[in-house]
Amino acid sequence: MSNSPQDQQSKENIVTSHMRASVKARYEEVYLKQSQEQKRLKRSQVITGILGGVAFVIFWYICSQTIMSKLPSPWDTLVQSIKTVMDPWYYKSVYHSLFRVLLGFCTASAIAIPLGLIMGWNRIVRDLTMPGFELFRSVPPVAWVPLSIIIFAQMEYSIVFITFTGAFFVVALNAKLGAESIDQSLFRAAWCLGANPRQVFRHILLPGSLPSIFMGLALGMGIAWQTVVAAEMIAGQYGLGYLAWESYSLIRFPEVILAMASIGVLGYVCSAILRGIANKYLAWRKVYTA
Amino acid sequence: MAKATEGNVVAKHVSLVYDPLGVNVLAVADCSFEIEAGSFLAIVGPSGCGKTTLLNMIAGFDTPTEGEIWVDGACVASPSIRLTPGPDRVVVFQHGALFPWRTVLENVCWGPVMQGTMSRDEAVEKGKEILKIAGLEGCENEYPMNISSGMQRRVEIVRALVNEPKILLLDEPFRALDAMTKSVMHQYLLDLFDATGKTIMFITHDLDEAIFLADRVFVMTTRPGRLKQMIEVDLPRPRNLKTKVTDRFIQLRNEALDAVHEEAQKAFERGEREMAK
Repeated sequence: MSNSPQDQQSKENIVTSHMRASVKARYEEVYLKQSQEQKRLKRSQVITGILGGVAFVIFWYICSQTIMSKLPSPWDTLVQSIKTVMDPWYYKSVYHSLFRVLLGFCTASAIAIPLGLIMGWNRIVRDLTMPGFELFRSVPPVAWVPLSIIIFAQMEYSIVFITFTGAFFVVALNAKLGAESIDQSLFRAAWCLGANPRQVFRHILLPGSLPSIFMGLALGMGIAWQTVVAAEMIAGQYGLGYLAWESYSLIRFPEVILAMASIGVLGYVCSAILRGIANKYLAWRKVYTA
Repeated sequence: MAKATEGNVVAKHVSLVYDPLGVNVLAVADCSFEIEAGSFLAIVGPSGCGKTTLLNMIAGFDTPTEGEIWVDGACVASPSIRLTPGPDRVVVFQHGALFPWRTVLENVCWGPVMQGTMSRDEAVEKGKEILKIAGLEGCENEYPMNISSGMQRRVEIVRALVNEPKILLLDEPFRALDAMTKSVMHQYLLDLFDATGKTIMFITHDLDEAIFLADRVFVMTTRPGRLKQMIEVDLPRPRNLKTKVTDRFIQLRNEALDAVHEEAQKAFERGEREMAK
């Protein structure tokens, strides 16, 4: 009775499991090699990056000693920066710039995203608003400075307003683009499944436009920083743009560089936070292959 | 086999003129037909003959220029009424229309939750149950982009059926699938039709597929789309792959082949003329 089906089965099982084990071991070896290779690549990338940074500092030093004699050397900048960073007055500048950017950017987004989505969805709204949009978005944000000073009695509001205009158009137009790029059959499917217009807005229009909305937000954040600095240089009190300009007037050149670097770091942090939020909400776009 | 008593579709002298770039084009010309409740109708015709337009009118996406469409004694499309697409006539789309930002389970539950006919928990429970029956267990929490295209089509059909539609409108749903997946999907659809007895309208340009699946095949002419020939398919159910090699299948196919080929030829030649202009 050695040829009963059960025996056959168990024999096959032994053979296949044996084969599987050997194949698995073989693959584990390959995977290990692969991951080691990737770690090595990562390490060499970091080292190259540090080398690039060091080269830049050396270049800066040489420039400051030769052709650009007014340029503060890296060492002077560092020493002066540490002094300034200890001073609470510096944080007042940081706080003011950050507050203006975030207030302008958030109000702009809160209005621009729904408006842009409806522009992309409804032909009447689109036809009504597009001519104005085409006209105003060609006006550089800095060109709004005189008008906004006229409109708003308080300087603070006029700076926030300029930041607002900087972010507003690019966020709205990207939201509109996102709404227009959604496959029409998704809308039709939603109607078929019994959704009402409010549900279609919330569950189709908004998530479908999200990739494009985040693109607009990233661009808008960049423009908001550009405009806030320009506005502060022209009309500001406090703020990093003001700090850079004021330090120039007072011949405190290292602080000019510190102000610039602070703007760079803050802008980078804002973009990174935005990217983090985007990755969370756009997880569905990640395709993994087996 | 439970035959449905609802899902009777009657089209009366339906025509549709559309107007791209200011040139009036007659897409569908004077089509009249009936889909009996619980039967499977396939519509075959060359590309651009107005098959999808016909389906869109039944679904409530396009208004006919003339004529009326009735479903179970209620007018769903005529030049004078406001269109209301809804869960009684669910469409499965040509290129797939699963919501990519919702998981498979969320997609399946979407209809009942939006309509408010089920609470979220109830819908999730029912969705899980139906996915299990459909052999889609284990991929409930995947996003549609991460499952195969054959699975995506199944999920979409399941998403439609959860709403218990009177009629299921399938717009070339297997067009983008490879031949092997397609034959698996045919069997799946046949089993589903036998089990539920839903009225199905199926659009395709593949004559074999149409005869294999349907009770009746409606051959359309090239644009403007008219009824050219109605083939009664009397192949016994349940059908399987062997049905395709029976004499009766081949006979039916040969009868229709000339008609379909003639129209395809016309569409092809006209396409060339339009290109030459």
